[in-house]
Amino acid sequence: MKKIFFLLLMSIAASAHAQDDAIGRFFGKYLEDQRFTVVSVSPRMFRLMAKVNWDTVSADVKQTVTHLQSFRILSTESTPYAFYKEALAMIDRKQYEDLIMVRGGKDDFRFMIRATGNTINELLMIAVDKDGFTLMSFVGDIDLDRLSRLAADMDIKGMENLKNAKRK
Amino acid sequence: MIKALLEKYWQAETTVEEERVLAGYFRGPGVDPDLRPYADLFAYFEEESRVSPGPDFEARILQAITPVRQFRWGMAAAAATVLVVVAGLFLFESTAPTGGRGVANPATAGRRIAGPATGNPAAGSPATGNPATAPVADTYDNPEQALAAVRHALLIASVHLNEGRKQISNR
Repeated sequence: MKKIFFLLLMSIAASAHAQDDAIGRFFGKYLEDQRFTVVSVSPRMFRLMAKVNWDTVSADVKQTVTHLQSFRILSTESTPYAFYKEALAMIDRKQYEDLIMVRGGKDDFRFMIRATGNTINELLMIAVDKDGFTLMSFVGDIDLDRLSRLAADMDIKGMENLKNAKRK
Repeated sequence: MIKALLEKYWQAETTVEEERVLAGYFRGPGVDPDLRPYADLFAYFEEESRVSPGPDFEARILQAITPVRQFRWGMAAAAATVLVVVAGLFLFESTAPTGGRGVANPATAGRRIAGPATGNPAAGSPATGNPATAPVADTYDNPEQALAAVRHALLIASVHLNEGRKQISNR
């Protein structure tokens, strides 16, 4: 009898956890951690963006942003490789599938997606190098080709600066 | 004659009829003094054979072997506690995000982003982090700042995406 209750409790706890995505758990764990920089934008804020002046924003950016529901980024400069490992271990492989994995030895990044059918519901980017670890999550309806065009439109030099700016 | 029968009895070779004869003999008055010790034994057998189950025998046996289904208050209390705790967890989870949403206390604002990270162009303004358990809390209370951060992040993701795609196509 007790075992049944225990199992019931565990299954409820497990299902409650399952609703939490991997990045959600990682965020929950390090949200208050002083070593981490956290930026998150809620669905409510995405709706409020409709009131912003979009005149200077390119059509691709606008399309991409309006299809997003939420955005989160978590980054740290301390023990980046350890956090990279932990984040990878925390990701539920049943939910997320690998999209792109680039391993440069000390400079790794990978993209993972959560998809239903042909629609990508979440794009996860996990990147690490000796200077830092970054975990980024875009939730919404994500068009990879459109996303890819955002950077392709800009000149390479500008992009390099942007990449460096990301952690400093 | 009786001694021969008794001998047969000890060998367990007597018939029911012969045993009845033996019992009758020992019950009777003229028991051979040599055999007197056995009279008590047979008297005991006789006595024991008359013992029969009482009228409530069956009922008592049934009661003894039927599992008692009594209500376990301890178990019920445990179940109720589990239910209350689980329900509480769910209620707490569903109400917590709405309670804490919005602009965080300015006193705590910017505390989370420490050190060189404040120079991050994406986090141009001090971040007003939300410590609530909401999965996606707002760092910014201004949609323009939020948009700027998202655009910045999108570009970073886009760069990496292209880099990854390029490497894949080069292989």
